[in-house]
Amino acid sequence: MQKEVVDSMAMKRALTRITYEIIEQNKGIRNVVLVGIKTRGVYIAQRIAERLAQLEAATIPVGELDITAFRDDQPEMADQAPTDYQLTFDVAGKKVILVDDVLFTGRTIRAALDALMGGGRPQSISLAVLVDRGHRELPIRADFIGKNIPTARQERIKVSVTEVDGHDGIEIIN
Amino acid sequence: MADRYLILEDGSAYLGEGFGSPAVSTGEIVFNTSMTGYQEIITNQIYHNQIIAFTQPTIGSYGINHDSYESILPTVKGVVVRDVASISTNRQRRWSLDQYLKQQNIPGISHIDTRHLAKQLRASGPMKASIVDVADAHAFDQLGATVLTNQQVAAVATPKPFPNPGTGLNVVVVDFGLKHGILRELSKRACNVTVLPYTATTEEIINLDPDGVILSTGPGKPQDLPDSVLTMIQNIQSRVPLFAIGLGHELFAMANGAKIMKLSPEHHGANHPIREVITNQIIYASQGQGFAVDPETVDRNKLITTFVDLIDGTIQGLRYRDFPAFSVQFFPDGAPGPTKVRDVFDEFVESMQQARGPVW
Amino acid sequence: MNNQNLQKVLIIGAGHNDIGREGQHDAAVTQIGAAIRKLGIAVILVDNNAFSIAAENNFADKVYMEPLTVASLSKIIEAEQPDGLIPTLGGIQGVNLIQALIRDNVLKNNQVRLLQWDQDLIDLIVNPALMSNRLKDLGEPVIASQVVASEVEARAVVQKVGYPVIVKSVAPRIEASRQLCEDDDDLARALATGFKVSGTKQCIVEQSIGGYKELEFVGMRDAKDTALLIGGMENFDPVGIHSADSIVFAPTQTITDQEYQQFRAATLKIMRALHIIGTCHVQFALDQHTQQYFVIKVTPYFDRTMALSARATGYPIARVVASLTVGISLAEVKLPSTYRKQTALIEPALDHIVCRIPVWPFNVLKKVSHQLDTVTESTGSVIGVGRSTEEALLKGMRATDESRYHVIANQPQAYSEGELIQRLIHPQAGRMLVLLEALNRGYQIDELAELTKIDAFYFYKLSHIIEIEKALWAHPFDVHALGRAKYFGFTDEDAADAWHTTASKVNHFALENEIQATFKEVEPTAGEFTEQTNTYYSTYEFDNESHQLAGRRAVVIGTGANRIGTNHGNDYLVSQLLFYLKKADYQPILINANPNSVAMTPQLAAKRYIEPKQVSDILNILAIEKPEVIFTTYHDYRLGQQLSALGYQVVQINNGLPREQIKTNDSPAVEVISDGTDVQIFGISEIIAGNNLRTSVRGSISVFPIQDKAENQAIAALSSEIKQRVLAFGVPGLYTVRLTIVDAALHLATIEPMSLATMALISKASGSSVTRLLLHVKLGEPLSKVMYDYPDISKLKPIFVQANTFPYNQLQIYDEDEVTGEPGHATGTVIAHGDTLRDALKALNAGNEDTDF
Repeated sequence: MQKEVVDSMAMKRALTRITYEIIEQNKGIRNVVLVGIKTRGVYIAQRIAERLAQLEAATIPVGELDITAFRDDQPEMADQAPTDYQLTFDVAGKKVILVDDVLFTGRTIRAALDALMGGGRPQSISLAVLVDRGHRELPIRADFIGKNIPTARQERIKVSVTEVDGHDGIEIIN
Repeated sequence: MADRYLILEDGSAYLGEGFGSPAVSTGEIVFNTSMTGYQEIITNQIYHNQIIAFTQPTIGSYGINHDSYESILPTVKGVVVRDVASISTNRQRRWSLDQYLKQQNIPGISHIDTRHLAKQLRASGPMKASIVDVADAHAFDQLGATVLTNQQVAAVATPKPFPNPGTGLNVVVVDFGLKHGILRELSKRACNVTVLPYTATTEEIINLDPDGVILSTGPGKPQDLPDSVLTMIQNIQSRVPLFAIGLGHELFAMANGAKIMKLSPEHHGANHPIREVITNQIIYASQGQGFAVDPETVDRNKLITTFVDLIDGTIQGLRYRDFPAFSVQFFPDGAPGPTKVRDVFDEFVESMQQARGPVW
Repeated sequence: MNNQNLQKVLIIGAGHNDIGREGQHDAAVTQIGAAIRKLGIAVILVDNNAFSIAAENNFADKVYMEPLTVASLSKIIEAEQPDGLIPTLGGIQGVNLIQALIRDNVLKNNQVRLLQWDQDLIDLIVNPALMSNRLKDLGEPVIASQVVASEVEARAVVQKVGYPVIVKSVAPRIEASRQLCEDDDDLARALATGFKVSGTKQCIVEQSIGGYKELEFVGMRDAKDTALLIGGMENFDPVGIHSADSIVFAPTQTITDQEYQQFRAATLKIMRALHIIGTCHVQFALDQHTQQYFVIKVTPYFDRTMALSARATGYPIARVVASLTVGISLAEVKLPSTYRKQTALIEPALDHIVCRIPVWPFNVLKKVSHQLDTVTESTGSVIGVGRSTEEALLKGMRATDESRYHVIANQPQAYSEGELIQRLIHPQAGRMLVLLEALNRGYQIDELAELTKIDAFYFYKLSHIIEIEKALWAHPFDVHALGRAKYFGFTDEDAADAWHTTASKVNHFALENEIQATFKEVEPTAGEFTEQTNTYYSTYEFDNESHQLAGRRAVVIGTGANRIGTNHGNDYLVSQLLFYLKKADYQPILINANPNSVAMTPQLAAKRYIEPKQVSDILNILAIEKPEVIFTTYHDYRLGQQLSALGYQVVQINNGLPREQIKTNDSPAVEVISDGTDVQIFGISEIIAGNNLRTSVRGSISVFPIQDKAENQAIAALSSEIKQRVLAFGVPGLYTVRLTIVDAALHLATIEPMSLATMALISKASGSSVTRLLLHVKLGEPLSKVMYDYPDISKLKPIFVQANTFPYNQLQIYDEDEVTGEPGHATGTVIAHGDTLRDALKALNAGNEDTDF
């Protein structure tokens, strides 16, 4: 069964609010870079970047991170050498905002942190997620949250973005 | 119906027919281009002490509805129309507009060339005007001599706190002459609301432990309000999410250093395209403003401009850079007017939820 | 400039005019075609409408007068290789054609992009059930309907939706009607008949919303998702009467802001969800007791309601749509400097009221049922514009040209009480008289509202009209009574009638007492901004906004109500006159009240007055404009005479319908033009009986040119006689000289003014506008100066053929006495061409297999 819990309007609002909060907490956008976790995190990062550009008339770099190789919850991957993550800029000395669609156990984020740290020493790393669904297995929390959605562990959260799925919205599937 | 006159400060006189109350009255005349919602407009306290001229030619066609009041008692000084639908034996036993204005002691005048009047006011800006029985020199002298009050907020805002209970977030509304639409939207979102007089102090507000504070719409010039209001805003905005509307928006801007200017021509209608800066989307919303934030005076290190009127570039929304405090010049509740912008209330609710943190 | 890399776009026209389809599509094509060309994009137009204005006068870069069929369109697409296809200008027929073009991969194989729409929208438009499901998914309420095969199933449906329901037979073998069922007995009876006549033994049970209030909203949306409302309109008549047959008011008159905003939001939501770029018309039904509503229909292509909203608001819909179609956003749309810069983005606000009134074919087609129901019967409509509901209504009634006595309530009708009630409950065409009669007999407003399901508001307005009129009758030459009557829409003629005097006496009395018509602009911002639409209407107020145009002014009296037969071609003539008057350095001024008329296209006239054609209405305009010359056409002959008698310079153009119907083969005619001193021949035409084309053809087929050596020689021999006979008329103009064959030799028979259809036929066949030629000889120019672009007759090819189309099927007329195919019954005209007559006739028939010829 699928249930839409966040519609496109509400999703748009959540992204708008995250954008404002990024400005609030970073006292502007100087030195800020966004890094989206593939696949949907990248589109979410791009949308935040577009919003920041509208407000501040400045271009914010957006990087992409493919962390499938770093995931420690997928043993068959663990032995492979980390593939290059595609960042077109240097994160050293930057305020990196890591962007993902859903925060769940925290393992993806941990992997992303590993990957990021391997590429230089950022000034700071913070985390923006569209959905925090709880059930953390690691001491990780998000700094910017679009929506807190309490879930049962076996439920799935599906974030749809127009770029990939043809529409925007968040659904719970169980 | 009796012949009556609408006379203006600049010496012009319009012959029309009286309806509503036979009283003689004086106020500032403004024109409104809304296509619907005469009752909401007449009962909106932003028009306190003003005479409203409707450009939509037929007014009153469905009488008075229970769910279209924007205040308990309307305080407009007059209603000017081309044609009033004189529906006397009303459907569903509703009041007719004529009956309602009689009860409320508000004069109306019909058969006015409202198109010409609108064009005149568009050029001149708002003027003092009277609805009178005779347009003689005496009437013009009286009009000229009338000094309109600048204490509009004190006249229409609640003198005492009152609750509008709900089961959700705890919201304090500071009343400058609020539109019922604000309470309606908060009720829909289950908010537990306390409405406080505009004289409320920071302490009185904080003592209610609000999740968020709303500065309401209201009439008049924001500079006419005491400085204590600005101090209150400065104190509150950094402590809880703040959402300011209309006059509230102007006060929010003043509290953060911006200046307010007289707007001419004014905005009274729902037809202007407004750009939401962050998404670059164009929206439509109900407007009723005679003042605007002077963009030159906005401290860009402090405030972000969030909405802009594309017709004349006026600021339609602001946001504090460092904390969730934001404002809109337009009426996000509609009533009358487009309803899609109501999601600004959702934005406010979500800001409050975010400030509280997750529920688990 | 465009954002989609378009070099060339294809427009599929709407074909011949018909019931429910006047010039609105062609008017949209002229504007959109011209605007797209201005953006540097080539426009290809395909149409087979003989009276298309867009197909002449450079509104497109290339015009194909070809059949509207998949085969013909495929060929054109292959040859032209357009980059984009505009789907919104060909009506539902165009949508069906595009569906087939997509199905046959014609668009894909030729890399033609469908503009404005997603491809899957096409399926939703042609299949209402799919649309219904889609709307349901969006959370929009739609009418519940279900196919049932048994009474048990039908009862289950009723359990859900409640009575009343409508029962229709699925695929009925005979003409079956919709049955309204109020209870179980009705249902059982309706199902029994329904199952019996159904080819599939099924019925559809549908929730009945008859009697609900019907609203129509039109929105506009661009590719960046900016969407705004053009306007909301309200049907005077309740759901159950086809909205084309309803009286409609713009803006809405009786709904609250909550209701209005609900429809505004739904319209824009639907447009966003379906990704519609351009305009969209959404119809709603509202139960005002519960505020519950249903979406009845979504129309994303041009239709009469979009034309009405453009006329009513002054918002330049077609121009804006042209830009949006090629990917320009609403914020980037460039409008002529007469509009405010952001006008495309400003939601229209009106400070006037528009009343649209349908026009009926019943004066000609006498055997059609006058009962109003869910099938369209009106041939068109007119609008009245005013500053009150009363004024708009009275002006609209007057513009129908029926008779001004239509609006005079004091003429008692000879109905019995029972008959009156029947007519109130079962409305017929022209019901306004019945409503006025009922009010006159003392029926109470609430009672009438209950019986008719018309909002009580309108009965107050009608009562007010009666009250004003009674006061007028009771007070001869009373300033107050006259002032009030005029203020609410009455005329000099009405007062003259009441006071048993003449209109000119009333007029003098009015002017002496400073009761004078003033004109206001129809513009989209209610006076908030300066907009110059050059479109005006009259009222009686303080301020006059219309001032005399500078330059040589020529007033053209437009077609007005689109009546059956007489004027579906007249609008073509009027439009062409405006176009060529402008070219001839005149400032053409149009007087017209038809919202669907091509002549209303903003580029054609320098100024427009949306006014009825009663003499006093016209005189009010003439008093301001003081034109050098006035043009009247065919059916306004009497009006022309009246104006002429008043001292105005009037040019009467009497081209109209053929004088008689000719249905025999081999009846050649020589088509000529005369300037009064000389005569020149356009060529030879022939009327052939329809059986050359197919069986059961009611009318006849015109052919031009006839290239027959022997005939040409014979005619050459007759030329001096022809010249003599034509000159004997003494009037410059266009003439058809009919010939007969006596003893195997051609002789002159009759001479008559050339018909409008022949004018269009020769224009299309020769590429030279016959209207232009007519205009110039009427203005006194010699043929030697005028005929420069008319081609050599002997080189004219191919052969063009033309047929009238008739509304017999649509109106369900099967009576052989009525189905005569005379030109007076025509609602449209189709044209085609070919290298041989046979080819031309084949092309004429293509795509028109089901059209009544």
